[in-house]
Amino acid sequence: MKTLRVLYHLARADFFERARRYRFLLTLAAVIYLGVLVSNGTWFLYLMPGDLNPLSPRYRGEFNSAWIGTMTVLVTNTFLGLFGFYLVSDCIQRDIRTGVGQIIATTPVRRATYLVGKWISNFVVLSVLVLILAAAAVIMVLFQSEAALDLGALLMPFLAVALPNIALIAALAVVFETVPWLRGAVGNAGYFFLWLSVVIFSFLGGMALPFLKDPMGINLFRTSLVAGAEAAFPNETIGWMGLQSGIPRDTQFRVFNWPGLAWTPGIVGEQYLWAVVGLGLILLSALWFARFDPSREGLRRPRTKPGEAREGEPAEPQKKAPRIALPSLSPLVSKLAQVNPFLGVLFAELRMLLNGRRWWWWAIMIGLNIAILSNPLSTAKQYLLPLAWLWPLAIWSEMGNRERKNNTFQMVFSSARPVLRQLPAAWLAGVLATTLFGIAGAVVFLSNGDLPGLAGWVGAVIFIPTLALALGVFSSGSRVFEVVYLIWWYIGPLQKTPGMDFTSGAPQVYLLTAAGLLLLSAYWRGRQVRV
Amino acid sequence: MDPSNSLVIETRNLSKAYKGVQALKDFNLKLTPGILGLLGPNGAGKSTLMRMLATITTPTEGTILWNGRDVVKDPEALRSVLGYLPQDFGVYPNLSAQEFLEYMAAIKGMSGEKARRRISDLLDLVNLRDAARRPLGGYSGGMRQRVGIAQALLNDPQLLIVDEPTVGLDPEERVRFRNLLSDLSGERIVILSTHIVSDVESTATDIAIIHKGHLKVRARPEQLLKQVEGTVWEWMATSQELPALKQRFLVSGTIRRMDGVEVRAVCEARPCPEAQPVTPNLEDVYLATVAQRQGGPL
Repeated sequence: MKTLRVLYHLARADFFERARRYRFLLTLAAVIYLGVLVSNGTWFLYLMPGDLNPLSPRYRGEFNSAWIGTMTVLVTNTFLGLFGFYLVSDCIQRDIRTGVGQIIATTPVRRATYLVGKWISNFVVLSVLVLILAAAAVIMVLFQSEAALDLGALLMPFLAVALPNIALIAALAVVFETVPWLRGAVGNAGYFFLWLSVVIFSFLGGMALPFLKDPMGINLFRTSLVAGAEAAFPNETIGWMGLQSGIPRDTQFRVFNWPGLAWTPGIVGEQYLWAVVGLGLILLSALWFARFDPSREGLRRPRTKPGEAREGEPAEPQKKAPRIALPSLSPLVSKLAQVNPFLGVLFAELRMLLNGRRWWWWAIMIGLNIAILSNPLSTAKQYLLPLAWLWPLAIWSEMGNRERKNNTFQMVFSSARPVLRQLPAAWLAGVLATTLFGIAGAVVFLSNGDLPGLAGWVGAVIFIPTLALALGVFSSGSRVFEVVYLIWWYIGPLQKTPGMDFTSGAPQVYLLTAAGLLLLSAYWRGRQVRV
Repeated sequence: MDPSNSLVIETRNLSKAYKGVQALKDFNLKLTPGILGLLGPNGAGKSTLMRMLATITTPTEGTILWNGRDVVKDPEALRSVLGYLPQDFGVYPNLSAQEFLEYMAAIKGMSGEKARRRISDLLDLVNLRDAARRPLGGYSGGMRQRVGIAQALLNDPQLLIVDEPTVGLDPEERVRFRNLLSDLSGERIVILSTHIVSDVESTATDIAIIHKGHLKVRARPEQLLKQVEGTVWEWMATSQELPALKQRFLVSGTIRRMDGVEVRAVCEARPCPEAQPVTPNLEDVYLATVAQRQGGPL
């Protein structure tokens, strides 16, 4: 009983803290918009023959409650699977950042109880979003349905599939925050690839274990949908399910009646096993949870320079401080800054950007560049350069938000020319660092006379740090850039999708975009400085 | 029998190292009800000691005993009767003080009705009744500090650890808090760490000075004052002489006067013929102790 009360208050306080933020309203607006996209047919569920021939016929279910509910749940699970994770995975970091954690550490609350409380809070936040999409599905049935509203058929996919799926996402968010090496950019990138693998394998039908089907319900629904379609069209072989946006309005579908999944306790239980898996992962991750002990790995603040005492830790042994007169203090302006104040700031920004990486980070970066130089151009373009454009993610994601993250913004913003000197210096430092990270690319393009390739390389060198700076300034955090860039990187440089690949095609578009983003960043930083 | 009489917290050979840097070394301390004023320069190990006593950090070596129970092995033995106000603490800005305290009460294991009554009393005590329903994000630094004080007192702690509690409080609130600490101290152990020596002077029944991870002095305030009796001097000097005087003597204070600067210094022998001995205060004691350890003028 006492544990339940603690869980209730933990989750309640955490939920209120998040739900009362302006950002939560924006999230709600985004989810309502997603509901509209599903309702107006922008996102569409369909079936195809397994040969994936674009000329093959496409099939869809009659717009009844079961079909609309299933379609909405699949869109919900796919999107919340990615964005939901990033939305909620800040609850423990917030306790560390605000210092509330060190008060919590002195209370009798147990590690597992605390983590489960955070899990429930994450789950409630995501449930609100699912509820909105369920309401959107009801509206869609009322306005577009080809059959009467059947609340049971409509809501069962939400209850049986969407809820356990978000329970798993909520749990993974806690786990990724609890395990020290899964925090930050590494964890964010790691989760992106985990999500991508689950989506790809599920749609390809490879994500089905004896007792656990995929958490998004893709396999579960596909089996039933394909069976329904094949029953309606017995002479046709249907094997592929797609969820796509932007299908032309005049696309002809063969329509069949699908009354919905025959829900059994077994099916529902299987899906809820994912929630149990999530709970298990949380309890396991409690082993890594440092309980806000600053002396344990992963909770430490950034390293301080030698001789600089950190709170709670002793200063280096030092000799008696000499009593010196003020005029003997070190000069205010460095030699570089004396030559040009901008150069001084640029050098400092560059140093901050590159400092703090471990030797193995640099070893991999250098190794990638050596591999680019020593492999054929096609291999370098297809695989190695995209990797070089991903590896420094953690460095780029610090751009534009370091001042907020380290709480130095009051000092930085009150210094001379924070918009006209510090911001351009930070941007140029990012460009120079990116040039360094991918320098081998420029060398191979030049040596092979591949000028379009070189133009694409320049596009990447300019565009990536500009995007990082802009999103860092706008969001005052690193996560937005990490998520946006990961998706963009996957669609563009890796998949080479035309129009999205900023490393080839039309770099001038990206250069213009970069210029626009830079101006917007300056405008936004100007507002931040004045506020 | 008064249960507070049995309250004892004791550290035995307590040590803490952070990646090879020794924060605290063989620290021995035994406390019974009363207020211990913990003094020491930055990086002396005060916060490390308090974090270990507050069960946040575990020691590298040694034990902490609460009424005879080893809280390093069994921190739960202490947590239910512990109140802790850290130096740098935050709040959830979108919760009200009432909600934040309800949340803290729950995780401290307090029952609903008891918690509500206690929160109501504490909101009056820290003078936040009128602002209790406002989001904490709109609070001033002093108001947040008072919320922190209230949360530390929620469970009527037997051991109260407060780190720089009066930072950000206006003079009136500071006096209020000092009085509150004094009232509380009769029946519980209070550990007060601060750089504001006057806070310690007005409340502490015991004083401990930590330096470089070691306990240097532990005594009652009057004993400490007695130690430096006859070594504190005041005299008038010119502004031009001041830099040289600061080089030669342990200057504990200066006051600008119409006819120059009144210098207060700690020194074994009379520093100059016009210097007059004055009654020492704890600031003199503290400076003298720390300076001695650093090989200073005394």
